[in-house]
Amino acid sequence: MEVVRWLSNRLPISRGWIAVVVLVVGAIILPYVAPSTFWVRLGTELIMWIALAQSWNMIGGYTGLISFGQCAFFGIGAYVMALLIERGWAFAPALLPALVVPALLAGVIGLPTLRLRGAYFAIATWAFAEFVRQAALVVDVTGGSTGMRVRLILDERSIYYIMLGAALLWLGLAWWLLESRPFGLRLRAIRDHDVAAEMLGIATTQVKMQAFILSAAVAGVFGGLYGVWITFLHPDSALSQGIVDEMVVMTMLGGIGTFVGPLVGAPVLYAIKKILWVVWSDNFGYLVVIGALVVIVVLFMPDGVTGLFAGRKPTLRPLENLRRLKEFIRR
Amino acid sequence: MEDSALVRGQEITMRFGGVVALSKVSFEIRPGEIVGLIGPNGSGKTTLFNVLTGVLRPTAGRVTVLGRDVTGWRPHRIARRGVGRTFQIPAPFAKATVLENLMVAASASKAESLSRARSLLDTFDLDGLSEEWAESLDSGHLRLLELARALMRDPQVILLDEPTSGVDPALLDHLLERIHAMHAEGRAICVVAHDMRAIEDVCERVVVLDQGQVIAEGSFHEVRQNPNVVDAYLGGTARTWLTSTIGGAGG
Repeated sequence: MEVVRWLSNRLPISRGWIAVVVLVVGAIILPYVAPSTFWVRLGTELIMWIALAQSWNMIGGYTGLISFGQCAFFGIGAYVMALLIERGWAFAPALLPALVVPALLAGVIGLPTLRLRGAYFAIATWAFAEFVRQAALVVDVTGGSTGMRVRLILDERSIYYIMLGAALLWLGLAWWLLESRPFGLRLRAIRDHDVAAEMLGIATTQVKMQAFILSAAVAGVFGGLYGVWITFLHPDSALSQGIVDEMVVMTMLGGIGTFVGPLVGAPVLYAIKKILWVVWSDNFGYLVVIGALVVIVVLFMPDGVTGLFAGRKPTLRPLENLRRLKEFIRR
Repeated sequence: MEDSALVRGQEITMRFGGVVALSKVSFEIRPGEIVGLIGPNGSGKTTLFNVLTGVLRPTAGRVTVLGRDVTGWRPHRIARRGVGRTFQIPAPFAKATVLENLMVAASASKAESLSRARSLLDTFDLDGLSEEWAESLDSGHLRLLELARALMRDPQVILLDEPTSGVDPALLDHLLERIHAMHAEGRAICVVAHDMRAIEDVCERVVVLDQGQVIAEGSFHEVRQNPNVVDAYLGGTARTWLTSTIGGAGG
């Protein structure tokens, strides 16, 4: 923060941009300054979570469609990429189907489900994701419940930079689409009142479909990268509902429906998770903390951590906040 | 043959399960007029608006806009054909600023749309609130915001669903003035209102709905003398009482 303040006093650019440059430069030099590969691996995973959380934020936060299908698109991207690499495909050509297949599937799933609202959409996408996970547990091609190994094709440093490059590309695209083009405003309008948006000439079904497909494609790409990085896929890890749960909590913690929300929420939750893992050396205590965080955010900080910086203080009106969340879901 | 009406509903029937919300209603909005649509609660006014704007698909009947059959069209296509509307319960994009609410409807270049939005905010006395979140506005200003937003696409026809409800007297005059100005610009307007002062003030023609059927049509003064209308609003007993004590059905 000191660096940002020091630079902003001397350069004719805003603090926001300087913070972006400092963070990006820091991310670029990390593998060279990190004391061990452990830190590079942490960096790789954190970058992936930031990108994934932003992909959920676009459909869940900006468009107001609470999707629990994002883990399926992530897992499908992972399996598609892994299977192609196992069949001798090179890295770059295999990444394209990891983007296209989830996107096409989102188009097919979106046709019936995007007509649904609120909790019904959430349930339908959850059912789809669970179907995919169950299917992956029984079919041969995924290795079923024994999982599948993915050939190691990239070293830690390379996969770190690929993850970083993909995340920067996606976040740049997301910024442009959500904050600078009319697209983002249309998504927010659909979220707040879809009939009113229709009456202003917006083809809401088409716009929702675009957001759903794009978010699925992004989840698929990062799923593909995850498989190559982790080198082992199992339906209970790559297709787990826990993946989408983390995206949701990261987004809500940072500030749902804001561009910065996932960028703040993902590192905070990720840090908590890793620290607890070191302290308690298991993952169950972490689930208790996730639950507690959701309750605190929903009841007292509906605008998340970034809302605190935007001058919206935590409110001591939990019932009012709960009512608003219920309204949000009911839409 | 050229259709004389801008928006026309022909023999519209709308059923929700066993409930008949509209029964063979024929209704039209003619070029350059302000027509009022009144009736007791539950008479089918908002349902008719929803059918005319494509939000609901009628069980039977036909909707035409500018001479073209638009029955079954999605609302955005009807909106793009030149129909705008506001809602009975104000429908702002709550987590967007007042200016952004207008910019949602931007169909031209950003600079052009921004300049139109700013000029509309100025006309509606909302320029001081342009950076406020819509959810922070009171109901009167929300009504104004909805009107300004509906004008962003420059529609030929505007359907206003209870634009005066929840508006305090100080803002009401401004709002009625804006409706007159929209009319003076050559737009056809249809107003649903319970506030008879507003209907009398702005409407040239009034159509009365009751239990999903058109029961009267004419000037404001004609329909308020109509015994069916008095029955619909007050019930038959009240009319008998009125006629026996006052000696007339009107007033």
